[in-house]
Amino acid sequence: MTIPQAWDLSRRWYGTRLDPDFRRPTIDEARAIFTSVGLTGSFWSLG
Amino acid sequence: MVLLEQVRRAIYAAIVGSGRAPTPADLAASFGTATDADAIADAYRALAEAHVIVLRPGTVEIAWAPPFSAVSTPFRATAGARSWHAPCAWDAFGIPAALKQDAAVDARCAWSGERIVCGVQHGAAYGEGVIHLLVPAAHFWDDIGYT
Repeated sequence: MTIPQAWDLSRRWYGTRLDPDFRRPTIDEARAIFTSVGLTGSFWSLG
Repeated sequence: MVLLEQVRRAIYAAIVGSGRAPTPADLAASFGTATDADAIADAYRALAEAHVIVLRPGTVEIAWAPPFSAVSTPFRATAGARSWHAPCAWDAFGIPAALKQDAAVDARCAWSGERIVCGVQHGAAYGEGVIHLLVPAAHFWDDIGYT
């Protein structure tokens, strides 16, 4: 992934990590996050 | 009873504050006499099982509370006068994301060893380079240390 993609992904993946109401993304949410930053294809498939 | 979320928050507060991960005994002491270290250790194991933190194999020592690493790595994010290690290049960008502040990222090309100038400034990423992951996403947690 490119650096801008890494930053976009990080904001979506880790942006709430220190928040009191943090919860890990569900599989569906993780798929949506990957897709939203252009990480698609079999490598990014979660089954 | 120790709430997992209470323990999770305390772990992250400690690692953000000091760069070091607390032991179960550390947290037991900070929580007060009603909580024993064994209960905190059970919470650590539960958080690891849920892929929230990563423990050193066979221990309750925290290696990573992603995107932060409690152990030294080649990847580091510096925000202001403070810096934290990250488990990987992606997580190095996770640190400014979690902190919600700009950071310079220290990383090196895995092929040449050359330093890569990159980071986040005014909320936008800068730098050239490509982050290669070795393991497909569906298998990230099969062996997260290798990933």
